[in-house]
Amino acid sequence: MKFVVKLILIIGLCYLLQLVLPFWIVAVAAFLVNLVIKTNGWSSFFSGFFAVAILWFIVASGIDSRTDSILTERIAQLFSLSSFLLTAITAIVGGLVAGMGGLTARMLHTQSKKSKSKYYS
Amino acid sequence: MSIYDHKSIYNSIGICIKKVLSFRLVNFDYKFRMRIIKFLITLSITLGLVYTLNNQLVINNQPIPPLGKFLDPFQGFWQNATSDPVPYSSEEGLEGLTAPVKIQYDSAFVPHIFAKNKEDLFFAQGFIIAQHRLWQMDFQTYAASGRISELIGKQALQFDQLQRRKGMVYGAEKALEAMANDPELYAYILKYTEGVNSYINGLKYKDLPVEYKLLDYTPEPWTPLKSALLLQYMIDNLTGWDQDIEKTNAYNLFGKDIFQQLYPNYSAEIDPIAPTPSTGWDFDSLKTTPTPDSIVFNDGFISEVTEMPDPDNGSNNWAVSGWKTKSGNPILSSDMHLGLNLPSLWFLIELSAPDYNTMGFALAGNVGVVAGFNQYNAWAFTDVSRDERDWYKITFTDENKEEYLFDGTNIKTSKVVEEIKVRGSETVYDTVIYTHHGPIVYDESFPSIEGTDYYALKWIGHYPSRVQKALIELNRSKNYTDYLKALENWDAPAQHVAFASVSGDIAIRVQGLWPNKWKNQGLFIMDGSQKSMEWPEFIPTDHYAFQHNPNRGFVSSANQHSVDQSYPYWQGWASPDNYRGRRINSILSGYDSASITPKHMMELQQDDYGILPSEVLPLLLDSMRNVRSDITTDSIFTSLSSWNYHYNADYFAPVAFLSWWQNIKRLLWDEMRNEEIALNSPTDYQTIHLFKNGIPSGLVDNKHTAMSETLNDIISMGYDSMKHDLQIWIKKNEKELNWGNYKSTSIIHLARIPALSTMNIHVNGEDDAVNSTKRNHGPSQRIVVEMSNPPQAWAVIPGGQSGNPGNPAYDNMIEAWREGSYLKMNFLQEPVDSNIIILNQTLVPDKQ
Repeated sequence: MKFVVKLILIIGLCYLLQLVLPFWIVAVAAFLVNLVIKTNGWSSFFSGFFAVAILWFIVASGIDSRTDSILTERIAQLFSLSSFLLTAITAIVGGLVAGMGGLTARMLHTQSKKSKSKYYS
Repeated sequence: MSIYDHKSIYNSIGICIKKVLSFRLVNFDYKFRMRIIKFLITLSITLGLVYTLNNQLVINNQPIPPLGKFLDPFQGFWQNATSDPVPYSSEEGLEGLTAPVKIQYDSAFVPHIFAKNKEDLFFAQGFIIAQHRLWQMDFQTYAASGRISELIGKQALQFDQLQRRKGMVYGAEKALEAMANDPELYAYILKYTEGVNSYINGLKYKDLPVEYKLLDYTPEPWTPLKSALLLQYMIDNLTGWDQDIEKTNAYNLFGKDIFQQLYPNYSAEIDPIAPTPSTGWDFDSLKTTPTPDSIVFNDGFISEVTEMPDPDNGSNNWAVSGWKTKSGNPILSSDMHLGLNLPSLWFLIELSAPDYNTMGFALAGNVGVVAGFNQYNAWAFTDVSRDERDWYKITFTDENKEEYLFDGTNIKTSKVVEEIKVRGSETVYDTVIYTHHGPIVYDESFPSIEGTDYYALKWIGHYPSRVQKALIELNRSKNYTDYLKALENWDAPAQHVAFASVSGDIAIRVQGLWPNKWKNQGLFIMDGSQKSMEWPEFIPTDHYAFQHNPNRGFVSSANQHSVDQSYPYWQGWASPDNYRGRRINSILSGYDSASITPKHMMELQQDDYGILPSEVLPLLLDSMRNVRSDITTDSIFTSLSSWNYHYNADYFAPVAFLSWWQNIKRLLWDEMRNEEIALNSPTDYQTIHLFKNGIPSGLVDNKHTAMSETLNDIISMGYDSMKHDLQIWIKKNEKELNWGNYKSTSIIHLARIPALSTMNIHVNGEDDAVNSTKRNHGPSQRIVVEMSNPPQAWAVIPGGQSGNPGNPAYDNMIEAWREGSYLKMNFLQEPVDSNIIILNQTLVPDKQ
C-alpha cells in the first residue's frame, strides 16, 4: 500500500516540478517522498523507478502519438533504435535517476529489518 | 566535455569516500558510521548518475547527447515535436518595438509581416526568422567563421583552419564596416539583431531547437557581424572556386599548346548572356596593360589543393517580354542551384511597412529579401562564373616571415593568431600571415606538411561588400531606373541580375566587381613580388554588360559565359555552363508572340533534357557499332540508342550513359589523375569538342595498359567498365536500377545528420539540364512571377519554412519540389481577413 502511495506521490510531484525544473528534479522528488515514507531498500528504489518510468513513458508516448511520431522516428533512427525502444529507454533513464534518489533517502533511515517487514506486509 | 573530466570527478568522489572511511569519530557508534558511509556512497552514485546524464559523453569518438536532459519528455527533444506547422504564440510582448507588428501566416505557412515603420519591420523579421530558423542561422555563422570544431571536435579542424586562412571573418568585417558607414542600413541591421536577440533571450532549455539539445550547446547572442558572416558564406559559395593551381600544373606539365587545347578560356560555341550589340558597347573602355612576358612559374608541381565549394553552384534565371506572353505581362523565372540542405536555405516571407512592401526568398540572418518581387518589379540572380580568386606566391625575406619582397622593396606582414577551440581537446592556435595581396593560405603546414611554397589569396570576398544595401534598394525599387540605382551598390559576388517590371521592362546586368585584368591574368599562380601582377583598378560600373528589352523578347542566364570576346575587358571564366543556357534560349526563342504562360515557365524549370548527351552519345554509339558489330543486340546498347536525352528518374538510359561517359573520361584523362600533381580534367564540353576535332597526340592512350589505345578502344573499354560498374550497383543495392535510384538525390541536414535529412529522392534532372538536380545539389528554390498588377507568383523550396525537424513544415514542400509543382504565393500587401490565414500573431511593444 505504502508503495502505491509513494508511486502516486512521486508521479504527482514530478509532473508538477518537471514543468519548470530540469530532469534531475525527479531524483529530488523521489528522495523527499522516500524520506518521509519509510520502507525497505527495494521499495525505495522501485517506487522512484516505476513512478518516473511510468510518468515519462506516458508523457513521451502522448507526445509521440499527438505528433504522429514526427520527431521520435528521426531521433530513434539517429540512435539506431525503434520508436518504441527510444520511448522505453527514455522511461528507464528517468526511472534510474528517480530510483537512485529514492534509494539515497532510504540510507538515512534507522529502522531495523524487522520493523521494515512489519510495515511492508 | 571529455571522458577525462568525468574520470577526474569520479576520482575526487572516491577520495572523499576514503576520507570519510578513515575519519575517526569516537562518539559515533559503528552502525551510525556505516549508515553515513552507505548514504554517502548511494548519494555519490546518484549524483554521479545525474552528472553523467546531464553532460555529453563521447563513446568511440561518437558524441552522445546528455541523455537525461535530452530524453526528458518535459524539457528534452520530445518537446520539439509538434503537429502544428505554426506553433507560435498569438501575442508576444517584446522590448524594442515602437508599435504593434501584425504577422499573418497563410496556408503555405508563409509569414506576412505588417509594421508601422521599417525599424519595427526589420526587428520583427529578425524575431520571426529566429523563431523559425535559429539553429540554422547560428550554425551557419559558426561554419562561416571556422568554429565548427567548437561544436563537434577535432574532425572539423581542417575545415575551420581553412575558413580562418581564407580570411572569412576578415572579409565579413570589411562588409560590416561598409554597412556601418550607411546609417539607415545599419539602423535596420541593428533592429534585426535586436529582434533575433529578443527571441533568443526568451528561450529556456525546453524551447531550444533540437540541434542544440543534440550537440549540447546554447545559442550565442546575434550580432551584426553574424549577418555579415552569412553574406560572406554566400560570397564564398559563389566565388570560392578556381583552378589556378591545377592550371599552373597543367601548363607546366603539358606545355602551352596542349594546355590551350585542353583548357581554353572560351568554349568553341557560346550563347552569351549579354552579347555585344551590333553597334558595339556604348562606352569608351579603359586601357588594359599588356600581358607580361612570363606569367607562369615553373618551379615544381603542387600536389594538393584545398577544399572548394561545388563548381556547379549557380542558377537559372530569365525574363520574357510582355509581347511574348499570353497575358501581355512580362514573366520572370528563377531557380538558384546550391547545395541541397535542411533546414532550407531560403525562407519565404512578405515584408510590409510604409514605402516598403516586398515578398520573396530571405536568407536566415539577413535583412530584407534576396530574390523576389514587390508591387512594381521582380528580380533574380545567377552567378557570374568568373575567376574571382587569384593566388600570389610570396617570397619572405626572413625566417620569421616578418617581411616579403614586393616591387624591389621589403614589405611588412601582419600576423593574426587564430584561436580554434576544439571540443573535447586542446585549443589549436594557427598563425595566419597577411600580405597586402591577402592572407597566406598555403604554407609548410597547410593543407599538408609537404608544402614548400607560400601562396597568398587575393579574393573578391576581401573587399567591402555593399550587397545588403543593394538588396534593400531592390526590395523597394519602383522601376527600371531604381533597379539600376540599387545595383550600383552590388559589388560581390558578381551576379547576372534579371529584372522584369509591371510597366513592361525586362533586363539583365552582369553586375559585380571585375578588375581590368590583362589578358590571362590570374589563370595561373602569380609572382607576388612583381607589381605588374597586381590587380588593376576595377572597371567602371557603367561598363558592365547588360540587356534591356532586347529584340528577341527575353533575357536569360545560366552561368554560361556572360559576354563574348568582343567585350572590351578580358574575362577569366571559372566554370561556365555550356548547356543549360543554350537549352533555355532555344526553348524561349521557340515561343511565338503572345503564347507564354507562367505554366510554360514552370515546365521549363523542370526541363530535364540534356544537350550534353545529345552531342556525344550518337558519336559513342557509332564508334561501338564500328568496333563491335554484335553490340546492337546488347540490351543496354538498345536502351541507349532509343534514349530521348531526358534525365527522367524512371529511365535506365541516363544511368548507362553517365556511367559510360564517366568511365570514358576516367580512361581518357588518366594523365590528370596524378598523386603528385593536382590536375583537373578538361570540361565535358571541351572533351566532346576534342572528340570531334582531335585530341592532342599522346593523350588518347591510357598509360595504365600495355597496349596503345585509340579513341575507339577507350570508348569500348569504357563500355565494358560501365557494364561492370552497373552489375556491382545491382548487387549492392536491392533496388531497380533507374536514374532516380542511381542518382539518389538527398537533402542533407546542415550538421550532416542522416536521421534529420531526406534521402533517396526520386527526382528528374542532372547538372547539365535546366532542372539541374544532382545528388546533393540542385534548385534550392524556384519561383515564377507574372508581372500583372499586382504581380502573381508561384514558388517552392526543397524543404519547408520551419527549421525544426519535429515540425511538419520542416520538409512539407519536398514532394512539390520533387514533382515540379508550385505553391501560389499570397502577396497580401495589407492584413486580410480571410480563410487563407491560419494564424495571426501580434508582436507588441513591451517597455520594462
